[in-house]
Amino acid sequence: MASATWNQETKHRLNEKITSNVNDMGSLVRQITRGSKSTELLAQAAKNFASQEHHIQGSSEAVKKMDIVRSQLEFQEAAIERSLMHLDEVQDQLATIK
Amino acid sequence: MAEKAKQTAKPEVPDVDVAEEAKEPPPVDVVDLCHETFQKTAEYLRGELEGTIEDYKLLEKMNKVTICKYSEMKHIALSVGGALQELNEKYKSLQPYLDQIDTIEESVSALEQAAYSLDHYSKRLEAKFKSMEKR
Repeated sequence: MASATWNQETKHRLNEKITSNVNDMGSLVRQITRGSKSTELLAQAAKNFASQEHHIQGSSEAVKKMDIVRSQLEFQEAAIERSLMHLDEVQDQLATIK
Repeated sequence: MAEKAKQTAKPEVPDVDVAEEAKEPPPVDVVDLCHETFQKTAEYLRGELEGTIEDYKLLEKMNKVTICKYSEMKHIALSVGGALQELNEKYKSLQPYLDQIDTIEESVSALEQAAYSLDHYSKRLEAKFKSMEKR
């Protein structure tokens, strides 16, 4: 085998080189993420999102209340329509009294 | 002559002969170890980026939840808007009846005034009748 012919020093140097390369790659990745400031930006975005949550919840509740008011208006309109059925009768009675 | 023909046949580097070094194929265990090394290195680098990935995933989740809430609000707002338009149309159609109700209310008020006047007159009449009866 080829590796058997290599001497210990070559193996040791190769090992050091590989370790150094891997460490350099890790440092490079860390430097890239630090330089892009993505952590800070993303954390700020998440904080802004969380701060808006209260307003979104308030808007959602307001819209739900509007829906309830809408249904109550519909009930009232139906009641008015039912009451208007008796209008002719009332007019006839008034005419009689007059 | 044959060599010249070979040289002229290669279009990229016509004046240079390319030769390959005679190599032994790498041992299987070395190949496996290299493969494992690169895999572990990739995992290590992926781990370095994991924090940023998790931040993005969090933002994605928050965004999805907000989308759901907004779509719910939009749905409710659309239904409320449509229902209010219908109600407006219905109230417009009821307007003549509401005018009739106003007329009826005026008539009833006039009738009520007349009833009060009649009641007052009848009480005066009764009082006069009683005073005349006493005489």
